[in-house]
Amino acid sequence: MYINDLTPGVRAYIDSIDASGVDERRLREHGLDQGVEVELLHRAAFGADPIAVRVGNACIAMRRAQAASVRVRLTEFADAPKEAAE
Amino acid sequence: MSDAAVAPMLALVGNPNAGKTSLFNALTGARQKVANYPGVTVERKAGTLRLPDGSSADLIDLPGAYSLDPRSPDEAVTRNVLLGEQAGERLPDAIVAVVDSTNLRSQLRFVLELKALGRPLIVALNMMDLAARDGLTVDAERLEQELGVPVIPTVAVRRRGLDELNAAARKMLDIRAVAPSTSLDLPALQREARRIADAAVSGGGTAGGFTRRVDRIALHPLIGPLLLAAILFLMFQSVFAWAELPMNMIDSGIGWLQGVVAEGLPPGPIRAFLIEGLLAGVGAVVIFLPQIVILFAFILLLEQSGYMTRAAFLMDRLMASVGLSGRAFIPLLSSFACAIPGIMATRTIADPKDRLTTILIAPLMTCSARLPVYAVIIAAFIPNRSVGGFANLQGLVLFGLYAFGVIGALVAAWALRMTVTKGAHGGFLMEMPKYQLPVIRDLAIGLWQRAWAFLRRAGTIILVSTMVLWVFASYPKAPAGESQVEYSVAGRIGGALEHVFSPIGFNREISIALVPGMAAREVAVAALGTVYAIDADDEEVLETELADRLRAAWPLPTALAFLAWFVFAPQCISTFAVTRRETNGWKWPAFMFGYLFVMAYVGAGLTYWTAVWLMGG
Repeated sequence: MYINDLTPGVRAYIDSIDASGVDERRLREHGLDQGVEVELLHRAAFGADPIAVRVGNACIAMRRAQAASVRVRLTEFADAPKEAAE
Repeated sequence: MSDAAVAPMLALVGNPNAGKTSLFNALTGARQKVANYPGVTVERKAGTLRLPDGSSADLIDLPGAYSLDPRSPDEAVTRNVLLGEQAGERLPDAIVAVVDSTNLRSQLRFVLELKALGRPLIVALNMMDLAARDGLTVDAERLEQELGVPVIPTVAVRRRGLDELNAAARKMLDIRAVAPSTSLDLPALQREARRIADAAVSGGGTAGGFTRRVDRIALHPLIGPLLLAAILFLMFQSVFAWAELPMNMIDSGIGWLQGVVAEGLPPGPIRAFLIEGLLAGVGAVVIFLPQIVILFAFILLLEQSGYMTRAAFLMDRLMASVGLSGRAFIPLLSSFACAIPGIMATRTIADPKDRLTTILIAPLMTCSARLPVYAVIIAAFIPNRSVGGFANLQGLVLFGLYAFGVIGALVAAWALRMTVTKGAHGGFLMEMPKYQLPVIRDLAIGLWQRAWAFLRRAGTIILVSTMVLWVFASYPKAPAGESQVEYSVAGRIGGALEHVFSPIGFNREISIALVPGMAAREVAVAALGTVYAIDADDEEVLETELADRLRAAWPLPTALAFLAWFVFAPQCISTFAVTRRETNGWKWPAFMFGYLFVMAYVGAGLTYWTAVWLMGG
């Protein structure tokens, strides 16, 4: 399951980032990482692309093609540091 | 510490949207020096910091960056300055890292990267008010312990924490840099940043509640685009409606000055030059200051409130269909004020082909320098009446001209992406900041810097070219019975150009005015003013407006063709200069000139021939 497959309003956690090089760096510099909480907020009109995603406490806009490299799961990581309740 | 003669220097660093510019304005006030780094068009903003012991230090505002691993020219300057490798800049004595308190889990990663540089470092924990709005409590002391550097809570927009920051800066200047340490790899930095943030931050029950509620409307698939269209329409209507009164006042002021000169000086070349060359020329340009200020006020308000990135989000799909990204929207909207800051703003676009395409189409956005040209022609040829009870016909025509430019730009971008800038498309990844009320001080400083830049242009390039044109149009003196304009140097150049332009309906006066129009577009109006004023005597200059004179001299198809020409016209020299610098060579500015000339010629020609045919038939 990837970010763009999420139902808006449903909380999920990043499982892995299936990108490398510059693409991976850019996603990481915007706060994406394993265990970080995400939520799909908005899809744009016309083709539902781009999308707006809550990453932790920030709102990040990205194209679906980029979101398709971020694998998510619906349950929290047991070993990850506890997220601030939101 | 540096030499006694040189003030110590601090550098402000931070992610875009962390409130860096607000903090810079709050710390240094309105007395800022804006220049460019040599060889690049990245702006260098410097100001003076008053330290608590009475000494002062230089403060520079570095371009927003996400890391020291640059991908855009902007971020490269930030990295190079911090490593002491930027030409024309010394190594800062201390770094002030500005972070957004509402998003420390992500933002502290950059702080950790900066700390590894070993330079004296202070963290400005900015936007503490927004953190409180989100129900977050940030323990600054705990952060200080975890990070091992001073952490000062600030609210730049309310001037909170500035004294504490100054005091910390003073102490930092006595501290020696330590050797840089090897930075952790990116995932490890991210984990460490989150560990520290989780230790220092508590609460967060209503995270981003206000922003989320607004975004439900602003980013709504249907309401969102309609809202954006409404905002843009309001913006362009306001430029025309609100500017009328101050423009009339400037106009009367210039007229009064011309009257004073006419009474105070004996007739002769000096008086003629002052009235017809200097005052008429500069006056024709300065009169558009109110419109430029209003346009920039809208752009600054959209940027400061956080809406601009939403506009980029809404526009991304349309931009993607011609091979660009939503990021291109921000430079392109700035280009409505002036293509130069617009082209410079493309430095935040990471993908080189996206960036080059955006640069090439930026001049198609109707810049404020074209407003004077449009305004005069519209005032002269389009009736000032209401349409459907809510809009004004002149405003609608203006909106149409802007729309033509935008459509032309989209078509050009698509064509360029299929040919000369062919290649894989970059993505679109952008943080959308929390909504904030714009701050009067930041708005005022931003407007002042832009208005001053415009007036300086009016006072230098525009003044010089107006003077040169006046001389060219006034000499050699025509013998009695011959037209001065046609006999003069300018008339002869225009006469040669007329062969090129007469098929699309341009007369000799227009051909003459296009030449100085290359220096700056708005000079074309000043030039028309000069060209048409020369053959008249002083009294007529004072009494007759340019618009009336054009109405008498031009057929309607010529006026419409002139408008169409200016939608696409390859101008101005400064735009080509900045394009050369941004693309490292003459190839792309030459290409830009060529394709714009063809578009403008064809556009004006089609307009002229169609109008002639419609009016004839």
